[in-house]
Amino acid sequence: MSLLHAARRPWSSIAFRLALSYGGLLLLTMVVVLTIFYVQMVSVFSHRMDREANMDLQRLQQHALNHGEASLNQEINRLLSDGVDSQTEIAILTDSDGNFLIGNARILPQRSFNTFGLRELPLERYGRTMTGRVAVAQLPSGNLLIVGSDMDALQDIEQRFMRASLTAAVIVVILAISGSIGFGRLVDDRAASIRHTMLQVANGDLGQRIPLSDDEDEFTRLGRDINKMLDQIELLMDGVRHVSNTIAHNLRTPLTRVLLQLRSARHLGGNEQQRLLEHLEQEVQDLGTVFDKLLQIAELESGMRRQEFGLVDMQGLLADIADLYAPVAEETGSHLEVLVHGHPCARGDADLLANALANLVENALKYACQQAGGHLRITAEQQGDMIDLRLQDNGPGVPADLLPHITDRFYRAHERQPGHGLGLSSVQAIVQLHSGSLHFANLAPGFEVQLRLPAAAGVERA
Amino acid sequence: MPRFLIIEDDSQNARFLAEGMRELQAEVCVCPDGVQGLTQAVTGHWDAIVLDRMLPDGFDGIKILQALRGMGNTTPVLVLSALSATDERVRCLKAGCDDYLTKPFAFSELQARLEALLRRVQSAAPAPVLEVGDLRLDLLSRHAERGGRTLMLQPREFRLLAFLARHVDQTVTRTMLLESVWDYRFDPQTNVIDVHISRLRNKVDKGVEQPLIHTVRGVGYCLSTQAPGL
Repeated sequence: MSLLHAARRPWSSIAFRLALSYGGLLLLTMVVVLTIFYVQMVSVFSHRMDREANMDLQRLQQHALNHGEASLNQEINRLLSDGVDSQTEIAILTDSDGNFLIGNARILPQRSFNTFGLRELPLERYGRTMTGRVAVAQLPSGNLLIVGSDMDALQDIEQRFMRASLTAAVIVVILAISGSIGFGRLVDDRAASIRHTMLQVANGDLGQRIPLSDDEDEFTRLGRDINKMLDQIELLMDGVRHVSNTIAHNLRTPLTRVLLQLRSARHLGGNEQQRLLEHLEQEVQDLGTVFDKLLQIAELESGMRRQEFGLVDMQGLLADIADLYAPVAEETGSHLEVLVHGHPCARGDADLLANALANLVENALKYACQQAGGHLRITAEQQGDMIDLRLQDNGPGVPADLLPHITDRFYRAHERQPGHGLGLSSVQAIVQLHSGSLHFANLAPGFEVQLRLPAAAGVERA
Repeated sequence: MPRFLIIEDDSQNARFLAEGMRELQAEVCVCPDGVQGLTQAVTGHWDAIVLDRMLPDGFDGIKILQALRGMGNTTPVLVLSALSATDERVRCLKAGCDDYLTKPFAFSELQARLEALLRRVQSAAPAPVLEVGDLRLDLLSRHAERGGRTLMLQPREFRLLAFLARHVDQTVTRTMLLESVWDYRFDPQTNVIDVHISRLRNKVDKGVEQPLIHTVRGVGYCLSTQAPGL
């Protein structure tokens, strides 16, 4: 378990990195949104301040023009004491040198103006220095009229906004990091249960399976797929173990026999020794045959030979098989007939298909056609996109409980008949290589082998 | 006397092969590796070369074969191989070998195939009429007669007899017959070839004093005017 959790640095978890990146993205989005919001708000606010300052200035200028500058004092006082915006409002009247005449603030430092219009100006109001956003104009008398508002309010809003944003950002960062760690842990825990099982399997305990939760989430599905794969591997391993055992048995036994016979051959003389040696030669050749067959089956099962597939005319192939084996059947007074409907063509290896059919025919001849009256009928026709091939004999068939085993390597249903028990295994391998299927059935009486092969596409049916 | 070159790294195997061939009155030279083998193959004059597919030092059978054929050398080559996969066989045939035999093999099989190779070279252009004793085969009209009496042969029987006649005085194995007469390459488990030969024998040798078709025990058959010594 320590191995499983050794790599628990958060950054090594993909879930952590994903969640954190997502948190980062969220933070970035927030900053962008708030910045846009802030810029818009400040500009709207200062715009309004500027407009009001200009409006007040124009109104006071108009007033001075209409009623004389003397009445301006009164008007300014009224503006300042009307209770509207009185906390922030600024109105000052100075002489042309900037000396204070009337108003609610003083310019710091005292100065005169050459240019007029909007600006920010340091001011002193009620003994407090601050920045004012003001509009400046010169009256006909040369006096300066300064109207605007205190920028403290705006700055205050700005500060509050910044503080709120910062707090939000900190919360987002904390949430993102802790969320990421949490997600990482969650995913890591789920992955750990899978890895734990895999480690046990890798260490040779093939029976282990990943515990599945009831939720139908990605990990459950992944776990189920892996479990399915493990089932298949275990099945194959069992198969391989079984096959190696049978191979070992079936090669060692004759080898032992050969060794023992070689030993006894030393003490024999002349003719007898000669006969024994010939027998041994035959035995070793048989061993070679078994070996070749096993290799051939392995080669077939690996599917390598599929590259050499060509078009195989089943009618021609069956005619050749009949030509080859009919005399053998006739030897015992049996009969072999072939019936082909149409011109079924398969995509495959003619040698292999001939080999498979020869094997099946040889079996039928061996079991059904040993006495006169034996009969083997081979039929072939195309059904849809499959070629249906049947070999029916009138022999004794195979006991039903043995049927599932007859394609096993070295399995022999009839122990007394000569053979290696590899014929049907290789037929099975050949049929599988051609993506076909092989079925056996007992007829009453007789035995039927059904072989289905995919028909070659694009070949016209006659 | 035929001259054979054996290129084989397994000294035991090579020795047995050489002994077997010398028993058949052949002159034999053995090379244990590819470089020596190629040198011998190019400089000497051989009737056939027996070449092991897998040789040490990375200079294997295929490379020797390619080098040999690249130099325009047409000496018949029989490849011995422990690799039985079909694509191996195809690779070797493509590289220019004349025959291919998988280990383990019976010496008699090798012998039969070597004789066939020698014969192939000698009769590059097959005669349209084959004659063995009083047996006469016309390959063009597909007519067969023995001692002036026409033999009623099925087409396949004619091919079988023609193949035997082309390899007169030479032992042919059952596998060779299946490959050449039926064009299929597999190993029948039963005596299917024997049945065909026995039928042919019924037509060719029945009621005739001197049989032409002889069984070579444990190996195959031989068409000859004399019983083989084996």
